[in-house]
Amino acid sequence: MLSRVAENVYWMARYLERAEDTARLINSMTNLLLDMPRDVELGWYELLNVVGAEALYNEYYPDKTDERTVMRFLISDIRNPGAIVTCINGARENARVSRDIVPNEVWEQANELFLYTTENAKSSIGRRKRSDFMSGLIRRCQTMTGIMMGTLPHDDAYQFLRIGRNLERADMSSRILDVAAAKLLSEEEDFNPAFATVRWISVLKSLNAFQAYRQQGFLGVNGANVLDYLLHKRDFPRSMGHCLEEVSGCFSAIPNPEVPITHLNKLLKGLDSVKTKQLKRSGLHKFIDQFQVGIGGLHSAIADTYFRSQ
Amino acid sequence: MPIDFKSYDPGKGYDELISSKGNPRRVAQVLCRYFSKLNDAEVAELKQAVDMAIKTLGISFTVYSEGNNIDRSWPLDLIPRMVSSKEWQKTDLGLKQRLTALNLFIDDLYHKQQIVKDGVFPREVLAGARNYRKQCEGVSPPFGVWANICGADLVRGGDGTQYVLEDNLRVPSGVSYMLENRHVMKRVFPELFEDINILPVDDYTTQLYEMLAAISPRQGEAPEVVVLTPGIYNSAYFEHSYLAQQMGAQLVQGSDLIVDSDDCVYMRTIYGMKRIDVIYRRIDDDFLDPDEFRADSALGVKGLMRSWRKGKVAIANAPGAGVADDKVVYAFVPDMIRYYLDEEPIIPNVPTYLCMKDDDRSYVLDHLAELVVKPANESGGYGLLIGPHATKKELKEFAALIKHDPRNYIAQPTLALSTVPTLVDGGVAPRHVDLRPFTLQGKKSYATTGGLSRVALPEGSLVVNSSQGGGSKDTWVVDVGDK
Repeated sequence: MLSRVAENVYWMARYLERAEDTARLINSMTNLLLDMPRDVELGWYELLNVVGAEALYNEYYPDKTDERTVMRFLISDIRNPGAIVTCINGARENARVSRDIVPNEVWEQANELFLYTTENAKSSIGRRKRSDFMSGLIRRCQTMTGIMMGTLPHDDAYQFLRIGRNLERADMSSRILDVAAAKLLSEEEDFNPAFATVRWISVLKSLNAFQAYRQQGFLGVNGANVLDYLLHKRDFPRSMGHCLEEVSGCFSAIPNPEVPITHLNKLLKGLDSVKTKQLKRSGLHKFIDQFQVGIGGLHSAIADTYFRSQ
Repeated sequence: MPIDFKSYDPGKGYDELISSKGNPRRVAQVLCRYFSKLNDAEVAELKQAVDMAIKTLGISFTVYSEGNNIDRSWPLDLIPRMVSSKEWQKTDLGLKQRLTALNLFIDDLYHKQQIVKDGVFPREVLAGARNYRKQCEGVSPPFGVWANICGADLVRGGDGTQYVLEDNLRVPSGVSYMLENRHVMKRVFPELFEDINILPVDDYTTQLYEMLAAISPRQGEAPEVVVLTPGIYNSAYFEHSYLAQQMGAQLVQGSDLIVDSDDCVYMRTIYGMKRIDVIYRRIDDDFLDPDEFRADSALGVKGLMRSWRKGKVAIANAPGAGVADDKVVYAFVPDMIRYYLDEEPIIPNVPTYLCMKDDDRSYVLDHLAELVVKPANESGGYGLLIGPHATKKELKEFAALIKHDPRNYIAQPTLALSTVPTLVDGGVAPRHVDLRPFTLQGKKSYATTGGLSRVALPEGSLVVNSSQGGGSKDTWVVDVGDK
C-alpha cells in the first residue's frame, strides 16, 4: 500500500469520526439544555472548549457566545477546520484521492453524506431541525463506516482506517470527559450534586453509552463510576481503553509497528493507572491533558513510520 | 412535453436514430416505441433518475474557471446513440488497422525513418513535428508499439460516411465516462436492456490491464502496474482513479515514485520501496521527467526516461508517441496504411488541406469562411476557427496566423455532423454528436464496443467538448440480427 494512500485512508476515518462525534456532542448538549432550569449557567460556549475550537472562535467572534453563533461555527462554518461540514468535506476529499482502493459503495456513501451535509447544514443551526439533522448525519456516518467494514478487504488499508477511527474517537471521548468533569467535579468533594446526575447522564448519552452503562448494573450514575466506565471499560466501543486496544490490534497486522507501539503502551499504562474514585478535577484534567499529548505523539510516530517512510 | 418521435424532424443532415420524419432506423425501433409511450411525468422522472445516479455515483469532471476547480456532475442525455453491430464490425477493424499503421509509423520515425527516405512522408513535416522527442530515438518498446491506448474521434458527415477526425495518441480521456454512462443507463432502463440486444462494454478495463501486463519488462512474474496521475486537480482525475480501481492498480503521483541507482522505478509504500513494472501515465511527455523534459515539472519522476530507455520499466503510451498526434501528420495516415500494411484505409480521413502546401494554403485563405481551421498540436477544441460561425475580425486574425506559420495549421470542410435526438427544454431535438471509441494495442489489438458519444447541446453547435458545455450519450451497439 502506498504511504500517501495509507495517510489518506487514515485521515478519511479521522474526519468521519470527528464529524460523527461532534454531532453526538451537539445532540446531547441540546437535549440536556431542555432539562435545565433557566438559572443554571450552562453555556454553549463550553462546546467550543470540548472540541478545542475556542481560540479560533474568539478570533472570529470575540464577543458572541450565543447558541446560534456557536452552532453555526460548529456545524457549517468552513473557516473552522473542525466544523461538521469541514470534516465531511475532508472525509470525502480523502476518499476521493484514495478512490483506487476505496470500494465504489463507500464513495457513493461519501457523496451522499456530503450532499446531505451541504444541503442541510445551514438550516440546522436553529433548534427545530437540529436534532433531525444530527441523527441523520450520525446514521450516515455509521452507514459509511459499516460499508467500509463490510466491503473493504481486511488488509493494510483496513488497518489504517481502524487506527484513524479509534485514535479520533479516543481523543474525542477524552475531550468530552474533560469538559464535563471541569463542571462536575469540584476540588473539595467528588462531585457537585446540583444537577450532576442529569449531566453525567448527558455525558454518557453523548457517547451513546447510557444504555450499556445501565446494563452493567451500577447502582447509580455518579462521577467515579461513569469515569471508570468511559476510561476503562474494554468492551464498550467508545471508551478510551477500548479504542486504544483496537489500535493495538491493528499494529499486529501491519509492518514495522515497534515505535508506534511504544507510544501506545505508554498511553495504555497511563490510562489503566487512573483511579477514578480518588480523582479530583485537577487530577483528571491533568491526566486528560497528558492523554491528548500522548495521542498526538502516537499520531506523529505513525506518520513518521508509515506516511513519510523512506 | 413527451418525447414524440413522430413529429421529430431530423432535418437535412444524417440522424443516427431517425432516417426521416416518423421513420426510426431499424436499430432504434424498440427504443422509439418505448419512449413514445411515456408521458411528461415519466420522462421527467427518468431524467431525474439519471441525474441522481450520476450525483450519487460521484461521476464528475473538473472545470478550470477563474483559478478555481469546480466539480461538475457529468452530463448524460437520456436518449442513447445507437449503432448496428454489423456497421460496428467494420469500424472495429478500421480502428485497429489505423492504430497498427500509426505504431509502425512511430517506430519507423524513431529508427530508420524509411517512410521519409521512400518519399511517402515529407521530411519538412517531420522537422516541424513539435512532439518528436530526440530522447526516444533508437528505443524499442515491447512489440514495437508506442501508442498502446488511442482515443480516436469519429464523426459522420451529412451523407452518412464515417470519418476519423483526430487520432488522440497522447493521453486520451473519456473511457471511464463511457463505462459509467452504461452503468447509469442499466440502472435507469433495465427493461430496455432486456428487450434490446445491446452489446456490453465493461470488458475494457480487463483488456487494458492485460495489455499493460503484457508489456511488463519482467514477464513471468505478477507485474506491478500503476496509473500515474497529475493529481486531484486534473480535469480527468475521476477517470484516473476509476481506471486504477477497476484494474486493481495503484494510483500514484510523481511524488510517490523514485528511480534508484539500479535504474528501476520504485514506489513508496508502508512496507518500504516497491518496484514498479508498468506505468500507465496520464501526464504529458513534457512533465514526465524533469531531467529530460521540463525541468520545473513537479508531476513527473526524475530519471524515469533513463529507466525506460534501459528497459527497466514500461510506459504506456510510450514517451514520444505524440509525434503522430499532430493534425498535419494526421493527413498522411491513409498513406501510412497503404505504405506499411498494403491495405486501403477502412475508415477514411476527413478531407484535409495542409496550409504548408502552397496550393492548399491559397485555397484555404480564399475559402476561410467555409472551413474549420485547426492548429496542429492543440486538443480539447481549443484554438480552432469555425469559419461559418466566425466574425470578420476572427477570420482576419486566422489568415494572419496561417500566413505566419503555415506548418502549424490545417483546414477541413465544415462537416454537417450527424445528429441524435436529444432531450432539450420543451421536448426532443436533433443535436450534433461525435464518437470516441478507444483502441488498445500491445501483444494484440482491441477496440471498445462503441465508445463515448459526445453531444453539442446548444442548437446548431458543433463543439462537443465537455469542458465547453458539451453533453454525452451512452452508445449502444445493437445486434438486430442482420448479417
